[in-house]
Amino acid sequence: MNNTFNTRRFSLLLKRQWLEFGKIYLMSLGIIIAIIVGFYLFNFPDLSEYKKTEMVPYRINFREPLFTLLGPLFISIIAGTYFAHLGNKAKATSDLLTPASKLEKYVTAIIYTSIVPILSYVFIFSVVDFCFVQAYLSDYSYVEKVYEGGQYVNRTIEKGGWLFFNHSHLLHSYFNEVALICSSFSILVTSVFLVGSIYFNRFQYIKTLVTISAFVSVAMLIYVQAGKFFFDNKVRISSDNSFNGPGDNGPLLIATGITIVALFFYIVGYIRYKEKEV
Amino acid sequence: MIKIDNLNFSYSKHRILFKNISMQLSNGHIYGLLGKNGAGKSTLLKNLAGLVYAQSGKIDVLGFDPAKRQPALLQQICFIPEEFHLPAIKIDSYIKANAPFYPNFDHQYFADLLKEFDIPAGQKLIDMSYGQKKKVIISFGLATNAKLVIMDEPTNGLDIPSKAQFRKIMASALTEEKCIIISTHQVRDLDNLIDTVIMLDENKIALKASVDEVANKLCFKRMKEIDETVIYAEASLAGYNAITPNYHQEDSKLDMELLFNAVLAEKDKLKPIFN
Repeated sequence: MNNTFNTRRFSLLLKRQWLEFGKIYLMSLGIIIAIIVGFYLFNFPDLSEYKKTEMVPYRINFREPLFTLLGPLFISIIAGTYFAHLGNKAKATSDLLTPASKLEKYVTAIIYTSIVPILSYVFIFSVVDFCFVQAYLSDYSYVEKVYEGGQYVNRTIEKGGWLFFNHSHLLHSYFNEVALICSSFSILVTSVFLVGSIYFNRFQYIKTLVTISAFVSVAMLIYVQAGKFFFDNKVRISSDNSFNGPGDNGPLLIATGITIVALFFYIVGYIRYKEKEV
Repeated sequence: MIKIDNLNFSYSKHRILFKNISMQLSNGHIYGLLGKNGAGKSTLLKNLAGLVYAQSGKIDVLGFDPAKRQPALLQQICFIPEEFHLPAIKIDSYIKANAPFYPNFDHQYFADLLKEFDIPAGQKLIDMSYGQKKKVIISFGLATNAKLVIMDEPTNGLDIPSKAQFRKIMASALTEEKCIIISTHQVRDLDNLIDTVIMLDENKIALKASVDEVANKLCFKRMKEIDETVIYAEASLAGYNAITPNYHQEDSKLDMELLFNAVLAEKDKLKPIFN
C-alpha cells in the first residue's frame, strides 16, 4: 500500500472533507455574493439619471476596490478557518485518525483553501458583473483614450467592454501584469492564513491577522529606517523606472518572488500539520 | 501486536506522565486500562494511536510507528475517544463518507449494531443525544473490523441497559485477530468483560495481569475480622471486603474496584506476588 499518496484515497478525502467544509464554504460564498450584489445595486449607475455615457466609467470605479478588498477577505477567512478544528480535541482526533496520508490531507486543504475559493471568487464576481453590465449598460458605448504601442489611441467601449475583466481603468493597459501579481498575492494570503489556522489553537483568524500586522509594521519600520540610513541626503541619478509597462519583466519577478514566499509558507504549514498533536 | 519500549512522555517539564514504561499487548485479548484521574490512561491511548508524540522510547503497533500516522495503520485502528465529534449529517451520509477508508468495513454488522443499540438508521446525527451518538460511533468503530480497538471511557454517557448491551457487544466483537483496549475509571462497567488488567499509577504500570492470574494469586472474600493474611480490606455492612493471597487455590470472584484500590494503597505488598 502506498502510504504517501493514493488517488482513490485522495478522491475519497475530497468527498469526505466537502461534507463538512462544503456547507461553511457555500454559506460564505452566499454572503460574498450578497455583498457584491449589494455593492452593485447601490453603486451601479442608473442611466435614466446619467444620460451622458461619459459618466459611466467613473461611476463604475467602485468595482476595483470592491474586488481587491473583498477577495483577500474572503479567501483569508476560508483559509484561516479550514484547519481551525485542530484546536478542538474531538475534531482534531477525527481529522488526524482518518486513514489518509498527511500529504493527501494537506493537498486537500490547499485545494479547498486556495484553488477553489480563488477561482470561485473570480467566477462569481464575473457573473454578477456580467449580469449588471448586461442589464444596465448593454445599449451604451463610450470612446476612451488608451495607451497602446507607445501612443494614445481612441477606443470605443461597447457592451462587452464594460465588463470588469475587460474594461478597467486600473487594469486595462497592464491587465496581464496586474492579474499575475494579484494571483500570486492571493496564493500568498491563503498560504499564510492556512499556516495560521494550523499553528494557533484558538481564535486562529484574529491571531493570524495580528501576527501579520505586527510583522508588516516591523518590516515597514526596518524598510523606512534602512532607506533613511542608506539614502538620506542623496539624490537619485538614474531616470530608469522599475516598471516600464507591458513586456517588462518586473511584474513577473515580483509574482515569482511572492509565489516562492507562498510556497515557503505552504511547506511550513505542512511541517506544522505533520507535528500537530491532540 | 503492540510493543512499548521505555516510553517517556510528559506534557511539560514539571508534569512527567510516563517514566520508562515497557509492555507488550497481544491480539485476542480485551485489556482494561485503569488508573486514577490524571494517571495518563487517555495519554497512553493517544500514544498508541499516534495522536501525541513521546519524548523518548519506542512504540510499535502492528509493525508501524503510530507517530507517522500512515494510512495502512490508521485503517487498522478504531479509536473511540471520550470526547468525539460527529458532523451534522445523517448516519447514511456519514457512513458513505467514512466507511470507504476502511477496507474491511462491514455494512451489515453496522446495521445490526445500530439495531441492537436501538438507533434509527435515518436519523440525523445532530438530533441525537450524547449517548446515542456514542452508540453510533462505537458501532461504526466496531464495523470497521480494525485489528486494534481503542476505547477511552466508552461507557460514559450510556444508560444502564446500554452498558449491559455494550458489554455483550464487546464480548462478541473479540476475535483472535483483534486487540481491544478499554480505558475507564468506572471499573464496574468492565466486570466480566476484560481478560487482562493494566493499572497505571505514579508514572508507571502498577499492575499488568490477566484476570485468571489475579484470581489464582489473590482471593477476594468477605471477612468478619481482619487477620494478618489480609493484604487490603475495606469495611462493609457485613464486615470487610478483603483481598488475601490465594494460598489454597480458592475460587473467588474478582472485585475490580477492590483490586484497584488495593494496588493504589498496597503496592509494596502486591508487587512480590505478581513478580
